[in-house]
Amino acid sequence: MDNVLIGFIGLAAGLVLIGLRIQIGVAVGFVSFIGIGVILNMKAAWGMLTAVPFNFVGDWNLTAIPMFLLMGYVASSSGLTQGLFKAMRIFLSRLPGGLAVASVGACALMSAASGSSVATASSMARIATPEMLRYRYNPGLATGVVATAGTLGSLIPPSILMVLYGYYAEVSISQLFIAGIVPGLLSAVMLSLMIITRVKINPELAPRVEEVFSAQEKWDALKEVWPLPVLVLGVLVGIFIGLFTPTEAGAVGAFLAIVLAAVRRTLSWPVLKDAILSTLSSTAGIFMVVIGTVLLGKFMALSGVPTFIAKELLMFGGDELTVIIMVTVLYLALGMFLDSIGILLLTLPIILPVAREAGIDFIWFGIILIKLLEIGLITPPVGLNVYVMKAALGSIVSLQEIFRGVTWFVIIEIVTLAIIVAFPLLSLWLPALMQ
Amino acid sequence: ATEINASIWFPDTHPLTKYGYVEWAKTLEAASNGDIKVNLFTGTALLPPNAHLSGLQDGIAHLTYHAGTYTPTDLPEDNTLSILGFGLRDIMTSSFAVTDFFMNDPEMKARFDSLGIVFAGGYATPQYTIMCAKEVKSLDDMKGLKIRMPGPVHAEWARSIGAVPVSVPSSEMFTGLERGQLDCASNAANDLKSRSLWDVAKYTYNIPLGVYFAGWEYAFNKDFWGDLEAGQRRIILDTISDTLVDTMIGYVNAAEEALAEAPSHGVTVTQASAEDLAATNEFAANIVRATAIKEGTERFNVPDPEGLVARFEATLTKWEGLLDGIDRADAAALKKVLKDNLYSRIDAASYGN
Amino acid sequence: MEQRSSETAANHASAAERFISSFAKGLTVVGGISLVLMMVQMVLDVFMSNVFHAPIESNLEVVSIYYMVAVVFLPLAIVELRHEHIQVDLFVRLLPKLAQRGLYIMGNLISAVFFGILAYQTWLDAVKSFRIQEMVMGVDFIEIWPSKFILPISFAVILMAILLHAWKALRQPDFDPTPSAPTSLEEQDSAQPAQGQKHG
Ligand code: NA
Ligand code: NA
Repeated sequence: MDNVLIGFIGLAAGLVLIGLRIQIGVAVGFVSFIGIGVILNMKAAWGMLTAVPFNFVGDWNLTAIPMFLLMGYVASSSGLTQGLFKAMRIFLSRLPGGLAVASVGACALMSAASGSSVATASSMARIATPEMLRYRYNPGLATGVVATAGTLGSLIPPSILMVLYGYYAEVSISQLFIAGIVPGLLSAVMLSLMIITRVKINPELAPRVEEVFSAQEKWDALKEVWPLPVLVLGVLVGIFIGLFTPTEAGAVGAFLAIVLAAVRRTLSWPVLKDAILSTLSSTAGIFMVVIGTVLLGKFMALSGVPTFIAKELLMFGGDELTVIIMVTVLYLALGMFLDSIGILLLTLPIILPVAREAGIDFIWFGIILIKLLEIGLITPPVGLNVYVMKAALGSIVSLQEIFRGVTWFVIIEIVTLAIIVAFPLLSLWLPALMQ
Repeated sequence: ATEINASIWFPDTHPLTKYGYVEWAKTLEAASNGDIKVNLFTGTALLPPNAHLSGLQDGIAHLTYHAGTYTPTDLPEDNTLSILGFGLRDIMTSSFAVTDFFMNDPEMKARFDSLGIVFAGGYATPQYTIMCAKEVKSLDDMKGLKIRMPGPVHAEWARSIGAVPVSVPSSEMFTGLERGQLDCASNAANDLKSRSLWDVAKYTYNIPLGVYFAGWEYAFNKDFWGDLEAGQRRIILDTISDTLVDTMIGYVNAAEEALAEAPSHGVTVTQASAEDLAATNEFAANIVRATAIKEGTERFNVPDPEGLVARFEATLTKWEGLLDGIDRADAAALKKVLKDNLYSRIDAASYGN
Repeated sequence: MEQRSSETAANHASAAERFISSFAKGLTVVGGISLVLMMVQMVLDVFMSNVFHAPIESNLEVVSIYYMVAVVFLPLAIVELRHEHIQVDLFVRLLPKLAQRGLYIMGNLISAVFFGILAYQTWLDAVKSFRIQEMVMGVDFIEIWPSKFILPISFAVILMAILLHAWKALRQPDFDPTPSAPTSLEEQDSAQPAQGQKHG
């Protein structure tokens, strides 16, 4: 049988298993194991189970994930964040969906301290979403905003995806980093505008705080604000003055969160224990999915499905816009099923030559690709950031509620993408200024 | 038609991928009149970097590149010999001798045989050098600096000049240098360009720290190799022979180009002083051989490391002689030497059986 | 007679449950210690590197090969016991209860096979790694084989937990495979259920 056909059958089988409520990592991992066995042989399939889980997990760069999770859990379980949101509640109460807008801002801030979208969403999931739910925000909105704004983690520097892309495309990583700043901020603004508009139309989504606050109350709230900014700034400043790398920043952030909790006298054994257990649970849950999708990536690579799709789409190829539209369709399709690093690694060898021929600027192209990969993180059925939200929040919100919640965000993200495509200067102005 | 699943974890733009695999695949397909095709997987699309041996043994890939120091326990002889790379100065002699030795030495053949793989071609890197974020114009300037080092011998050398060796993944070299976590990094100079190190490391101290040759540029899964016809093997070996030369020349050019372009990116390139060169060569002459034998004995449990090192040195001497007086940029001449003295002497029908 | 045998079966099941649960908890404790060590060692490395210019040698290898692997794999079984693995229940929720139970049991058997495969293969890999005393190279050599045993042990325990759940679903019609552990938010805020507003 044709390998591409085997690949498509495997994808379909994986979707059926996911639909039957088998945990996602197992569903796609098992299908990939069998698929590799069919394409090559069973010895190779067994060998892949030696090659992937241990070697993939034992990676320095990925240590940022449990560490940023721990930072977020300590921050939320020790009540470090409550002060900030109390103040937000007071000062942004007049703004429709104020807490959601504040979450976007917090994610953007956090993104500047985190290299990965998943890590950003992981930590903010525990900091921002519970606060919104506490104020009776619509669960879809409360989770969708963090799942989406968490994707800023890869667009606002530092960014693991940019490092990978820069390595492959042979473009300057620092220029890519700088190029991501304006599109990242633009995304944050677009998300905020969308939230405000939606809440204006349907105020039930985010109940307005009707209380009137005295100057004394405002001042007291301000005094409780400092822990989170101190945490994020501590991490940020540490990275930028070179005390530690973005990967190590997670560990420093977790440690700093514990110190801050101790200073505020909210650190106790139950708080710490709760944070550690939640971190372990989320990490194991996330990595089971990641291992499954990494195996799927290998299966897909062997089957030739990504190449097949790319060829079919780029057949129309040619000018800049056509290539970008084709790549958009390709990435949105692949983004439904695969993890972002997998998509990037599988497709770059195919699409970079096409892009080069079309004369596309590789820095700008990189920003577009990363934005596309980010959208893939929140689209069903495999949307890693949505799963991160689910893993971080447990039974509070169901998966379909989060997916329903991100629908609006996906739409606005595509609009933002269109703006980034229409105005290359947004990405290229800052890097050009540097030279 | 035969299809080869090949995996190399360097990106398409890396010389070992670009010339050694991308270009070679085209050459091979043409030379075999379309009978042999290569499905090339680059980066980690098929296998994680350190699984390029186990994945080859299990037949996930039929052909791989592998950095031997990633799996020291599986490749004890290779890891013992790779220590000697610190003292080697010529990429052609090194890569040709490594290929010869790994294809023909009985101990090496027995090792590959027991691993279930067939060695088909070696490589070497251009000289490792030092790229720094701080101003460095002599070894003395490196005292107390944190230098990313690729392995234990290099680490020992760093300690010998009073620097602090740090182990950091290559993916973090850039950020490490940018943020001041690392002061310097040691690698082949092409990383200035390919990893954009010249954006963050503005001082290159061009002191030769040897070649890296551990593992292989080409090794086949034994079962897959066994199924190939003698004629197919012949075409594969002959194309590898020629490609190896092109790859080595391309690799050297990439490193030299990067060094040449570096000043236009604000990088100060300082050539090593005679004094520093002498000190480093002395370290290589006095310490490296003894370290290889010591590590081979104590760490890698090689039965006769002294004999292994001596045989390898004899092979090096042989190729120094064969390559004597040949212009290192003359691809045709180099190809002839390699083919006449190595690849054409391999019996395709029996090799690797 | 019939009632007695089902009681015995229930006793066996609860004995098995106690065994699996304490095993899973034990692994989780080790995972938690690894998590804390990971943080402490990374922070200490940053501190030593900046203040004394003397980073911890082989910090990278120990953190990524030992702590990271322990943190990721050891808690797998506890996540299963708490029914917190990431799955999609979009479609199954529409089915009648009995069909849901049947699918749940079937799904668990499929998962059990996959974890069995993983446990078996990673066990072979760990044994091979032990036999050759496998190392990796940084600025020094680090033995890695002990870490490789983390995988088969973790996979074996989650396999047992999954089989236990399948067995419970088979024997207890009211078995509910949704996350059981109350989250801290619900504990703190039980007076105002967070899911008060589902529509909009
Ligand atoms: Na970021
Ligand atoms: Na998706």
